[in-house]
Amino acid sequence: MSTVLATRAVPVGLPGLVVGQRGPGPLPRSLLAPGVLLLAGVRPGQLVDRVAHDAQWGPLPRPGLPALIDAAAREHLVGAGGAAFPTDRKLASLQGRRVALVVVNGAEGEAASGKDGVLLGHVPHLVLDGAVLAAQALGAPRVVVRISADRPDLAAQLPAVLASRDDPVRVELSIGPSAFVAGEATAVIRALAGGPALPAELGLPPALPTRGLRRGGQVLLGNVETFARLAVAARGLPARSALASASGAVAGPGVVELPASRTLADLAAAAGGVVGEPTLLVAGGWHGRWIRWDGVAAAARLTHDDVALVGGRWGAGAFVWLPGDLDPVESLRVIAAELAAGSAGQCGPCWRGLPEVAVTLGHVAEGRVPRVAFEALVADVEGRGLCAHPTAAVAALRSALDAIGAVA
Amino acid sequence: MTRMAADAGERLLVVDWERCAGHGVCVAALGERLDLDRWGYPRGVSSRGVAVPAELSGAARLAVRSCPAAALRLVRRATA
Repeated sequence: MSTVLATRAVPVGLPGLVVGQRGPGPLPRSLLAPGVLLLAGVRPGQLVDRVAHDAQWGPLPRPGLPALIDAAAREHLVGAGGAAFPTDRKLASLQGRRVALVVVNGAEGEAASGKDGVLLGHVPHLVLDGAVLAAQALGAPRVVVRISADRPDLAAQLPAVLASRDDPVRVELSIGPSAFVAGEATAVIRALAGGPALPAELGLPPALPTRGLRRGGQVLLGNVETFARLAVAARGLPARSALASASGAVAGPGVVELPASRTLADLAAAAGGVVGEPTLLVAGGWHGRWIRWDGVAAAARLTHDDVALVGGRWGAGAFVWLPGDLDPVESLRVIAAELAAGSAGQCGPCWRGLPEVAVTLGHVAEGRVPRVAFEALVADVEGRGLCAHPTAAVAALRSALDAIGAVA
Repeated sequence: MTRMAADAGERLLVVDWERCAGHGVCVAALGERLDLDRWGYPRGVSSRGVAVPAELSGAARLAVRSCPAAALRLVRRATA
């Protein structure tokens, strides 16, 4: 009996979502096998300590900002939190500005993603190297590692990791709420400045709001994986691989690192193989895209471009196979409701719009109202509000309608 | 050149979605650019700012002043 598809009587678990009840499903939080680059040779559950890290990677490099920008550009590094913004351009935007803080965003609000926790739990020194060398290149005096409160294991382990280093800048651990939007970049910065962990309009590049702090300044915020790759690139080494979370209708949900030349079929196989003949794959997590799980999708390589070619989105590298014996409309209802509940409740078009979208979507999926009812409603939601949540949620749900239409 | 100087003073109408409660007063003041959505929130504004042409700057200022939630402001367009 699979852990994912038990029986009809037992709720079917999707990561962070259990049909019929609220509560965590089988989250893809464990490393399934040693990786190929960031996690090369790392046994699941094993912390690579300072000594082992230094033996493998050597001392912390100290590139100047231009060299660091070149290294990021050479390896085509992009933000691995979901937005895929080019890292070299992000660093270049801070050239000549006073940078107060570097934030390692490990708040991982996306329930279908577990890679950031896996990196912090196994190779925290690689992540910290990336953040510290970026702070040095930018002249920032402080690094904050932000994790969410639902990872007490990391909160327990990381202080000793930090203490085992002698970094030239101050490095602190910060623990925030585990809500979906609490991990959004501006929400993290706002919380660190003493405000609520809710999205804010902070401009580009983001600056610490002066209220609540003695002095503001620019902030470099990046995803955990991005900093780990930066640490590799800054050493002059190739920094590319595919780090992905696989969950849903797979035998062994978890995180795997594979060469980017491998395929989605390889990812499914690494997660123990699909179970129950799934017909749909959510590519890119709950803000991602629903696509048909067929031979074409299975042959897509583990790259942003290939996943986009088959209609998916890489996002934060989270892939959820929807159980084949679960009515897709029911999956859609649960996920739409979860996205509506994920609103921070700050912006009217989001907190009023998404619950209505969820209801209308269910009716459209059942064929009770025409598709145009959904499109008319989402026109009042898309592109509005101060963070990307409503727009991303609508894009995901639209792709779900398309995909369900395709398999029906 | 004089036209360029005038453009440099162009204003953006910015909404603070956290404050906006959907009173709809702004739509009455600046109906040329704004309309109401199904919940009463204004369409035609954004949190990143929407350019207001010079001939509507008076109406835009009225919209800002009359918002009961103080959710609107006019800012000078950034140079970069």
